[in-house]
Amino acid sequence: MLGRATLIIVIGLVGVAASEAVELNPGDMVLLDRLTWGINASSAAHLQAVGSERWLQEQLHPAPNAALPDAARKQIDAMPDVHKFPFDIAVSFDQQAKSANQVADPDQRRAAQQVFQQAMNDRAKQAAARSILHALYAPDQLRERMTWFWFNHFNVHQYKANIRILVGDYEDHAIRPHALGKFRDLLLATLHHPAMLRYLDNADNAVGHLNENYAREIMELHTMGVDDRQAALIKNMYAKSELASSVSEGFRVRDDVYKSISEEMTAANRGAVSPRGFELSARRIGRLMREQFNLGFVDVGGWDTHVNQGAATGYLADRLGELGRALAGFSEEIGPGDGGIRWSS
Amino acid sequence: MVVVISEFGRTFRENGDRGTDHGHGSVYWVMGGGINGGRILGEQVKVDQANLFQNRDYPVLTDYRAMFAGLFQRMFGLEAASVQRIFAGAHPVELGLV
Repeated sequence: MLGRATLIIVIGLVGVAASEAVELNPGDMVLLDRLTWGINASSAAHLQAVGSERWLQEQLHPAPNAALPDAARKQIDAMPDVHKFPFDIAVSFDQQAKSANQVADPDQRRAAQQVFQQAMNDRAKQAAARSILHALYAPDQLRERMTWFWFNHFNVHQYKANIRILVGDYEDHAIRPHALGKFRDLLLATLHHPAMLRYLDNADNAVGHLNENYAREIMELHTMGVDDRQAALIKNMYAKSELASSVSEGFRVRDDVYKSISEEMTAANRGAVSPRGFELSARRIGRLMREQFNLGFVDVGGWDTHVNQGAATGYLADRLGELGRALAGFSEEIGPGDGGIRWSS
Repeated sequence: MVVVISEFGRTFRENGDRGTDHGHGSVYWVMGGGINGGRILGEQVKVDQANLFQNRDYPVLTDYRAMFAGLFQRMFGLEAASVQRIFAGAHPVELGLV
């Protein structure tokens, strides 16, 4: 499906149907390659027949339900749950999980739980197959490419909770119908879809039990980020609540980190060797703590050494070396001062 | 002061894949210019079959909450009630680090 691979097919066409392929000029080939999931004989013939201007208009304004070829449509229609509402799918899977967990015999219970997990995995595979069938056979190819683009922008992780049974519906009903439409509609469709409610924990958001995961990502990842004007709006929104001081503290830390990163970039532009990975984080924290904070936390992963841990050299030794450089960097940034210990007064 | 801590330890014994599996006990590193350091502190036991959990895993001897509670108490001059607000139910351990 990649552009380079499909280009080879076109070269093959020259031999098979020279008269058709020869007339597809390089500009049209690039157009087809860029706006579709790859050139094939029928798309090349169609572009040639209608001309690039009309072809582009067709791709930009496809019929809402552009028909898949019969064989592909039948394959999709044969998939279980494909026409069910995600809520109903989730309810029936919940029941299956409950009855699996209630099986008294431990071996039979394990087997029932495996059947349940396998059914969830199957739904995720079917969703992937649906995606590929659309990419390969849908006539509205630009919409398919944009569906893929927006699906990555509003990504969900299929192995979290029961998202495996929701991810197909998410692509089909939250993303694809809006892939060439208005951003606001797309954003709202993803916001309301159960897959997103579950993935970014909005489903756990309740009175007295806030979960702000989605609230953060809708600002930082899904839309344009939080600029000064939005930061002021958000601060005002929380001004009279008990979270007011946490919110303004949060923005202050964010601004400090941005400032520190921009100073690093300036230094790098002057040719300074910039540290990487955990050492970089540790140095940043060190600078922040030197100036204003008494307590900081920094998290470093990569220690799950189930396989080939190594000894004096090898994987773990490399991680420990990195940790050592980070600690030395932190110490250097925070400086000797009062011996590194800040006593609260 | 810098404390390096992990949320769980790793087994003392090697597994079949030349690695180690999730375990219980581990070590805390405490560093800093004012630390009375260069020592191994807290309760210690011999690493032998009798002391290893399931003959492969270190036991937990100093709860991390007890270690932090003891440090915070000394460093920030916290009263017992304030320490309890941070680490409910923890008994601060005095390791003589600061």
